[in-house]
Amino acid sequence: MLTFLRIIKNGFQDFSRNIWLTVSAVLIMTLTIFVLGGLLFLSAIGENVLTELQDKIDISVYFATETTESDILKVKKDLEGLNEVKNIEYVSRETALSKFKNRHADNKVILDSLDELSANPLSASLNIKAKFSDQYSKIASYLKSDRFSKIIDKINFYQNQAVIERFNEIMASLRKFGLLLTAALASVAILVAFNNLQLIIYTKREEIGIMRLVGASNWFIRGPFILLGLFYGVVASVIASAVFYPILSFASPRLSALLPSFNILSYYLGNFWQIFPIFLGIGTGLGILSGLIAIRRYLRV
Amino acid sequence: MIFFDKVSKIYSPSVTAIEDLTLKINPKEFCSVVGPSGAGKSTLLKLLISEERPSTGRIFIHDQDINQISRRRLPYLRRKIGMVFQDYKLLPTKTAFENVAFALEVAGVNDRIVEDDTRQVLEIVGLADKGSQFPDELSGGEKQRIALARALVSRPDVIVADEPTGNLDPLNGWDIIRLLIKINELGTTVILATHNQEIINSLGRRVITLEKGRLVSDEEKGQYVL
Repeated sequence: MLTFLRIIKNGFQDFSRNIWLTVSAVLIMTLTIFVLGGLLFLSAIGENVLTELQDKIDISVYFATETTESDILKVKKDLEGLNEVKNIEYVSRETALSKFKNRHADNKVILDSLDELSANPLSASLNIKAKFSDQYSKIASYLKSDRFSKIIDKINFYQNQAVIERFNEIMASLRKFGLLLTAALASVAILVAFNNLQLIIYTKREEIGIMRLVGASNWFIRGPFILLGLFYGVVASVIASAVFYPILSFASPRLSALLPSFNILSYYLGNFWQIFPIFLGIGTGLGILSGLIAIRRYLRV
Repeated sequence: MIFFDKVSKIYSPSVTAIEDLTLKINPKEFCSVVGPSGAGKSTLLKLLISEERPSTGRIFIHDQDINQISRRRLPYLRRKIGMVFQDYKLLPTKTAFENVAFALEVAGVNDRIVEDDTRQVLEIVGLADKGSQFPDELSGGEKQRIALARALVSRPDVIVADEPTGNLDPLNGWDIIRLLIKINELGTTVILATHNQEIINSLGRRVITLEKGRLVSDEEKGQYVL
């Protein structure tokens, strides 16, 4: 207990008497946490962009004109039973017609030729959205089965198959690349911080040797360093999370112009109690670990 | 009692610091180790506090083979040996008082005794009024006296001084030697490594002379012969 109190005393004495070392250690840790936090937000934004793109894809199933509405709704119900399906929108023949007319309201030729026809030429359709874009082929093949073949006229997946598959490939490689890039940048940030902390401890190597020669046990020497590492980590993560607030407040409205569905500030505030522990973990982990590793080298006296 | 039993320290095939050294130092003795630079004086002292371990041979302090002591237990050995260095080796971020007190704190001595003993030792070395100053604010002689106080404060059986006067002017050097003599008279074994001829000749105590790692003479009331 006495030893523990002395370790704490020594730690804080070191902290206050080496104010510049303290400042630089906290600064480098804050920067690291800041970079890692930035990567976290960037990947959240990226994920959102990809999801948004994914949401733009759907497949439409067109039914033969003589199919009754109840038959179609039955198919819709069947489809809703599938795991892969996110939602289905039913477009009746009438809706399809009025949509068509609206779209071509300024094209007299089309409207005139439409009037020439006695009946509504358009088919009813279901617009299906899958949870993930690589599930469309599965849904399409489900619809291909024999029991639907009489009523289904056309599935537009097969026209767009090449495009959708291409899109899926791009998505997959974007995700992979993003992950790799994030991992690479994160390791660079951590290595830079680690090396800096090693240098800071390097300046203390002689003191560590002296303590050994005077008869201090390893834990008596290590203790203050670990305590300081912990303390630096806490301070740095608090500073970094505080600094993010004004930055994200500034960035949020500008980002919303590009990505209306995503608010980075409310993402930060909403997930604060998940994000802050990550910062804290990185900071304290870095502090304690670099302390332990560096001191080990200088304790061999 | 300190006993070196056929000790050699070979750093590399071409660098032999100590060769086949057998040596006995009795309790309460004041023993000087002399020899030119590179004779192995510092290595001898480093072996004694187990900062280096011998290549062959064994070293005993109070019948304990110190090379059997694990690194983890080493601090306990060092608390029984007070060490003084040419370059003082004070902790720069601690005041003079804290530097001395540190040697007691590491041993888990309680606060009141730390306080009292530190004050007392600072008085012995004549620096009671400089306790709150940092090493940078002290002169060389003062630094060395603080270092000596630190070595002394845990009441070691042995004080080992490696060229303690090497960085000091003659006056300050003699202060340190006088303190060492005083400490020795109070019953502590003192081992002093030096190449200061004047000091050795006027001490009139045991002198061990090393040359190229070998023991070349060992005399009671010796003189600096090289």
